Amino acid sequence: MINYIIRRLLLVIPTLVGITLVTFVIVNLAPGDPAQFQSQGIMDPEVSIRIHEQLREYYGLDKPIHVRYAKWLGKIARLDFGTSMSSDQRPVIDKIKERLWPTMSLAILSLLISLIISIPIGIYAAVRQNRLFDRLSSTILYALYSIPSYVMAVPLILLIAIHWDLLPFQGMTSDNYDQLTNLGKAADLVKHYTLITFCFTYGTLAYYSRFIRQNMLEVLRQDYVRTARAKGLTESNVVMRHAFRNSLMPVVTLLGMMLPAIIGGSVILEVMFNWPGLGRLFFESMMSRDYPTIMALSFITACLVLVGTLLADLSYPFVDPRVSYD
Amino acid sequence: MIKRKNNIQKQLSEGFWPVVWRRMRRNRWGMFGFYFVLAMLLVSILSPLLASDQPVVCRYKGKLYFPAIVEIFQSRGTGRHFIKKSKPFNLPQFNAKDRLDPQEFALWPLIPYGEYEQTLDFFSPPSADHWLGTDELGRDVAARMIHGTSVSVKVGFISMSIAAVIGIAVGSIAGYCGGKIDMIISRVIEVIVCFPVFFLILAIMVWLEPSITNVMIVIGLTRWTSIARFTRGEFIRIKGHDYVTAARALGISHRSIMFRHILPNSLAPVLVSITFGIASAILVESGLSWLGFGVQAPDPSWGNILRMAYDSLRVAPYLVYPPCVAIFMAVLSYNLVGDSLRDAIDPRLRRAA
Repeated sequence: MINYIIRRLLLVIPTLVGITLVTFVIVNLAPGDPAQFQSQGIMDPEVSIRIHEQLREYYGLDKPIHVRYAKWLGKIARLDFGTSMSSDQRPVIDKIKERLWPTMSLAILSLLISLIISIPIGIYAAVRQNRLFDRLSSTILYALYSIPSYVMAVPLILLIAIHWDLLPFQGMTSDNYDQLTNLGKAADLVKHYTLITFCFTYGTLAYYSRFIRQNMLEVLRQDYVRTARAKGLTESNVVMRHAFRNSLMPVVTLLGMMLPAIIGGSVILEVMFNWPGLGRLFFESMMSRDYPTIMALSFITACLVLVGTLLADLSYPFVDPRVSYD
Repeated sequence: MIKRKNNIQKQLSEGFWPVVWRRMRRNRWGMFGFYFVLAMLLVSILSPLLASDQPVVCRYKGKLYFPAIVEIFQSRGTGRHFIKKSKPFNLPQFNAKDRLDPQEFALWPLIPYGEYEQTLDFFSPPSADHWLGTDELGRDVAARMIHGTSVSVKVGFISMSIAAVIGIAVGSIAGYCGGKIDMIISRVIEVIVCFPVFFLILAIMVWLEPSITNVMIVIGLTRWTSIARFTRGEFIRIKGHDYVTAARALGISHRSIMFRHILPNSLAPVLVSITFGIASAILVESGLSWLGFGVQAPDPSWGNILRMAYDSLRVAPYLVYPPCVAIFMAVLSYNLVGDSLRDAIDPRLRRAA
């Protein structure tokens, strides 16, 4: 198994290099000189020239392209993504750090919730295939899966947050957050998390449930399930210990694949909910053409996704001991 | 002998695509999706006949005019050279609604408002006059929704055509050549998949003018990976078949084997992936338009209609539903068509997720 882990880790290296290349190419595809592009629009000519010089130095634009790439790699290895071009002029890495948790907490929360709910739904629907519950849940889940999250979010905001005024939908905390007691703070957070977490979750939930049902149906037809039944095991024992465990393997693959979908979907939802996460930071830096932040965010999200797929791959041998990679 | 030969009836076995079509016909939901897609196509082509501020047929100063029909050709950018709207209908300030005398007549489209036409009813709720209400500039939302359909249709088809060309080319080369080339291409695909869709597309859109053409190109250039993966898989599977070996033994060139012998047999699963791709392209376009990076302000698109609705949630809640329902129905239809196509192509692959 150690052999497999090492091999899988080695395979990450070319992908990582590829990610840096793509990010770098997007930078250099930009028409004209990025330094000039960013310093234009600054009214004061003196400031404009100064910033232009700073930028040229940061990007090393006077050097040939491979030298620039190597230098940029070196900076990234030290997690130095430069300073933000927006008005606050802070290091990009600090901005990203403070925005990382809101997005990651949402992603983890929605993955957990959808797993917890979808597993029982999927199993129950598969065990009672074509009964009322199965038909009903299949139809509803298919519809849910087809509703884009931001299309779901707007009517939800309208009804729950505005019409009935039940939950807040702007930001992560209320304005008076600092004055609240600890309990009040927790309640405030929960309230703010509810709507956006639902919007992040239901699509994944529907997808998982359908997926688990499908896998269970396949496994339930296997010979060893019939054997287990013939041995006289209880139905719950057959389903949970013999069938379900063997349908887990593809679910683990999915976990790794869902991360890009969740992070990618975060841009619109976070702008909509005014959520201080990576997606909104990305949108904000696009609006202000905050070039170092855009690059850093593309790079970091791609790396997060890479880690997600890697973890899923690495967990194969644990989920399914038959898998051995020699 | 000759007579007997004539009596033999030529029995052609049913081809692959007729079989697929026959199986698809049996799937009620799939056909529903298929008809909805057709309806979208029709609406987008005939939008000036359904909603326009110019009449379909009208008698003006003793002459007959067909301004809305002419608009169909003009708005498609094809007829500008051979069909011209005659005066006064080509003048922007001409308003057919109040320039007509009693003895003249006009047959109006279902929704007698143009997509840019501003009336004086701002934020009026749905009524007999404005079926879906009006927005903050007094524009009829029903008219805007109808004209916005063509954006979704165009984005779906054009961006996925670009993606299909790239994906099939890349995937078939990877699958056919194998070895190092396959390894390199697979790595490239893996790298692109690592970037979340929206991040990659937005990062490229920063540098481009926000317009529908650029959106289509960028979606096409970034969304080909799953098509390439499917094509590659099919090529690897089919490459081992006897007829390919036979073709090679006959000395047929590699290019000809790839495109004339393997490709037609590998198209079916790729088509499924393209259908799902159209759904996701429509989704990405609406999202980009919602964020302001897609179709620009006066031009209608479902995404920016939704944006306008979102910005005036408290004033005009009824504006939210039309774009939401439209985007949902479009995505659902393409998903249904994709699913039924997959089931029809290979009944053993029942609906997975």
